[in-house]
Amino acid sequence: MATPAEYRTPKQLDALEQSLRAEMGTLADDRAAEEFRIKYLGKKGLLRSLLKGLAGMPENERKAFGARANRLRADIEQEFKQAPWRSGGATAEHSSFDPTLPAAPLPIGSIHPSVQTCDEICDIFVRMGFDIAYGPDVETDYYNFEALNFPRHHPARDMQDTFFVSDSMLLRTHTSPVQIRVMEKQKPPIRCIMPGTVYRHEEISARSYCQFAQVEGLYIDRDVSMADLKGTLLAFSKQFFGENTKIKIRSSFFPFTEPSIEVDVWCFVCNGSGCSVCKQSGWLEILGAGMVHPNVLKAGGIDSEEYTGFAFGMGVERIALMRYGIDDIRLFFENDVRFLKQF
Amino acid sequence: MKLLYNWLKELVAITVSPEQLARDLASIGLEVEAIERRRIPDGVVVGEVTAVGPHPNADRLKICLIDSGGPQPAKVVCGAPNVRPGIKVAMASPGCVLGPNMVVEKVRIRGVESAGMLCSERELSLSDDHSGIMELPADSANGRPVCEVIPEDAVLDIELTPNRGDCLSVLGIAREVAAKYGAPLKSPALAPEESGEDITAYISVSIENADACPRYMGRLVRGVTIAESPDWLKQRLLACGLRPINNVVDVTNYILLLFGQPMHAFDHATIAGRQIIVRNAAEKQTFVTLDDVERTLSSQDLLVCDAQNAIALAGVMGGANTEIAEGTTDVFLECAFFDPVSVRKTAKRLDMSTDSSYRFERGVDPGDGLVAAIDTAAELMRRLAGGTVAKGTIDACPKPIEKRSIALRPSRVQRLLGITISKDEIAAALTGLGMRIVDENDGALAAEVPLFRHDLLLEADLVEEVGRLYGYDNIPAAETATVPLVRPANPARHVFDTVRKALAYAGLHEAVTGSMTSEKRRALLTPAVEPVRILNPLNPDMAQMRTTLLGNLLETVAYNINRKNTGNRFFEIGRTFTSRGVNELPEERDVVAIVLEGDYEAATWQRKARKADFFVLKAVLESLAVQCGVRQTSYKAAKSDDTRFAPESALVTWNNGAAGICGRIREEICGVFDIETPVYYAEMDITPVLSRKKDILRYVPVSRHPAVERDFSFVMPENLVSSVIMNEIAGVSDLVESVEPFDVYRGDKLGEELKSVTFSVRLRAPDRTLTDTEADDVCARIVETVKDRHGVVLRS
Repeated sequence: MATPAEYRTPKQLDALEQSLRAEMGTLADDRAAEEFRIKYLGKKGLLRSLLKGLAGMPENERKAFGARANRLRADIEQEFKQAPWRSGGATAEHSSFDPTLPAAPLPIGSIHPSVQTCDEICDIFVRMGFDIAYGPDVETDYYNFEALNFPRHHPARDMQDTFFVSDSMLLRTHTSPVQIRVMEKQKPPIRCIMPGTVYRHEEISARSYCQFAQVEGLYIDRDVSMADLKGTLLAFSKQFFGENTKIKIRSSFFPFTEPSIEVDVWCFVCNGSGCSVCKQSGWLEILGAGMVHPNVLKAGGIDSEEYTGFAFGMGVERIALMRYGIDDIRLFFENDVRFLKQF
Repeated sequence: MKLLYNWLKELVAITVSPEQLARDLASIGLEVEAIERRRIPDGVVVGEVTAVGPHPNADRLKICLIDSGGPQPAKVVCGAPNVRPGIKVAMASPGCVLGPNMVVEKVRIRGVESAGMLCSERELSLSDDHSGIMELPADSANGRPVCEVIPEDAVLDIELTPNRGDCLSVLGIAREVAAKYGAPLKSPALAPEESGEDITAYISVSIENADACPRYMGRLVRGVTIAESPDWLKQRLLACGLRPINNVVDVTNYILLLFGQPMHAFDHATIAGRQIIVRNAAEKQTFVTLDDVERTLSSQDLLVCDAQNAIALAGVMGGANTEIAEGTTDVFLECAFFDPVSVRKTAKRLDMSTDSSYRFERGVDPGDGLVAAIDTAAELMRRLAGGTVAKGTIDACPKPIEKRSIALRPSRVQRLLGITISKDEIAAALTGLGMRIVDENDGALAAEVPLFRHDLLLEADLVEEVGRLYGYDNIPAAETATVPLVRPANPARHVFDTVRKALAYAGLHEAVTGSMTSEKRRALLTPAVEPVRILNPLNPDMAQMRTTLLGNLLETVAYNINRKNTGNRFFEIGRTFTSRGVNELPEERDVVAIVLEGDYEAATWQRKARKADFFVLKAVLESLAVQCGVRQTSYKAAKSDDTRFAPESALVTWNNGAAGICGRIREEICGVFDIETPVYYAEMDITPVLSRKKDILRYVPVSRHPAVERDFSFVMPENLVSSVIMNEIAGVSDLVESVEPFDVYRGDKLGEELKSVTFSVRLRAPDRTLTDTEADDVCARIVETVKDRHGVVLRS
């Protein structure tokens, strides 16, 4: 067996570390392990004796050697303690290993459920060849209303109660203004999905919140028709809600689409037999859509004779509420960790 | 809008159930929010009050004898003010179920047994009226079930989109229903029986603002007797949510419901000079409306005036000065088309939304509908209130509204809807909706649009009309689309995604919080930032856009602490806002915020808890940086005058352009949020990263030769940060592979303002095993360089 006096330089300790690790790897049972422990890690073991007899060494060398020796001992001790032969390979009477004790946990985090929902929606459209675009939360009246064919003094503006920042600026009430921003930058064909936060001047309750996430979609090309819109939304619904999903379309009104429609999805909770989520109707309202209004194409600098397009928009929290069976939209904004970590 | 199913059936013969009707209406764009079935329950019978006597134990109760067809009258206790001998009432017998929690029982009321209950309209779910018991027509047979006297009905609550002002009436819905089912529409209009002198002998009308009042019609009904309306009328109004007032006012409201045309009835005797002038108000002019509120007007507001005063706020509300009163005998009826924008501006400015302004804003029928409404009103008034209808109608039409005709190409219908449909089918759909095909050539149809359809302006609008009648569910779903082979990925989305996953995997929970904050909070956290202010906040706590995410995440931590959730670790990716003045959109920055409070790793049976501190926060940030592909990060002690951060804080920069701050939040700030424990927070502005394309990495060869490790303990002044020495050591030789401080010691032996930092240095050559001499040489140079440059020596 080596004696402490053989080790005088950190480099020698490097070599020692290597040989100790190698030896640890050969330990077959508890007895061998115990011998190893006494020999190197015990009170009189080699690693505890390394610092003795350094008296003759120059001051700075002794410092560096001492630090290295201490670290070596700590490392080997640690490794020895955690090594599997401490209990795993032992005979039954020696077994102190209890695998049912809790793990030494790593901190586990989570991604917000409405963000997960939004991401999933976007992913499906990205797979269909849609780009992603973003726009500002604070918008001009022009982008939020005028360019989207909301005349200034028209009751259509009452559909979206608005937070104003000035006469001409506001918090966007929908992600539709990004449609115009995209059209201004890009020539057709345009296939684009636009997620973002939108704001409505509405009292906060279990069913509505003054801000929420929306996903907007836009497809403009030659000869895009309502049949394409239906096909796209049906494909999306099947991906998102399940292969057997059916959709139903109702006529509706949005100033920026003509014709305008609302799309209902076959209730995935009760399969259409009626439940509290679909309010017994068997159908869930999930999105508004339509063919892009000629005035909107014009505002975006696109010739409505040459090109046609469709647009749609959906509220992310609303979909997440249905999907996870959540009954209060405020839960999304309270961030109680007991809520968040379920997702 | 509330629609009575039976009333609708008077105008269009339908056989579908209310539920099916609701589904069909929804498919063509008229969404039915709720259906309320109105059926008088079994067991409620007609009773005649034969006698009313006092209750021995209660002044307000009466004991009534009710003949309900049986051999003996029933004794019933009743407290209604209108109970009196001779009236016919609805009596519910014991056992009768009036509602989910309402079963009539034989009970003793103040010591007197009551054999049933006399019902109010509310108790029978007919209306909200609970002022007294309901009185039935005098000819109702005693004992007859009330459900035979008042037939079953349903109220459909229809939610109309703002483009369909023409559907705000029974007639409007009937037109849609007729078009949907292809059924004929019966006109509800009545022709007045006129007599006496012409109306022009009694009143004249002049219009000064033709833009705001393109058409104004008037009729006069003379010699009316103001009284209560008949039951059928009162019931219809109540069922539709309107309160009956008297026969004259009720007729105008009935016309409103039936034709969607708001009308106003003036007491003719109170109109000064027998003259109506429609003109704008003077600036700051005041006017007392029917609801006895004095309104201050602007010169934009349109008034209906007599020779002296204003008598109505045009299209919004009448005036108190010309109101129909008990003694009114002659009624001047107004039926006009006021400009939608003008009415909307006035209603908005005065914050008054009335049934009248609501309809004018959405546009009423300026053509035949106006005439039908006023004629029907006059005739109905004559029948219900007596009197005579003066001959003729005043029709001031200074700015006639012409009918539009819109060209529609069948090819366009096919292209937009994606269906094959013939020109004839298209023409039939449009005709069914009241349009007239005025021209037809090879390529297109020209359809003349009825005046009540203010929403039809362009070809696309007609495409929608065809589409909704065709049925969107009948349009096939396309199964393929031609799309570009590939589109570039959006770098911003990639960054958001990476950050989110990196932080979730580092054990943090993603929070989503509100973008609005209070002035107080903003001033506390970012006093120097000019905020974006909201003109109409929901409440003072949401008066500005946030300038930092700190307040949001401190709130989140506090919320969780209050719920005994420990070890709080959150992040948020969100936007902050800084004003750039009123004429420019604000600056929006995308930031990542991280907050740690309490244990980062909880204690377990094996180990102690790892409390959050600066270096745990730094570890999270470093791990985030690595995941984001950042090669180099640097930390510099933050300025001590930061109002948010305690001295343990640092400015962070990443070599990809992101920058921010991290550290412990000052106790005073935590105190504002009622947090008593240390909170560590970081905020990185990642805006510059969002538009960056991902860097292409280059591989660094991995040496196959062994490394040599040496440790150096330097005694350094406290104000010398370890990174300076690390960089110095790393710069000494290419052989230095890594430098890592692994021990920091402070103690009396060292002396004040000094610390000893031990650096572990790893040396390695790419192409050979280092010799002792080579290693020793580098070590000597390290000691020398550090001493020369910083006066720092090894610990002895």
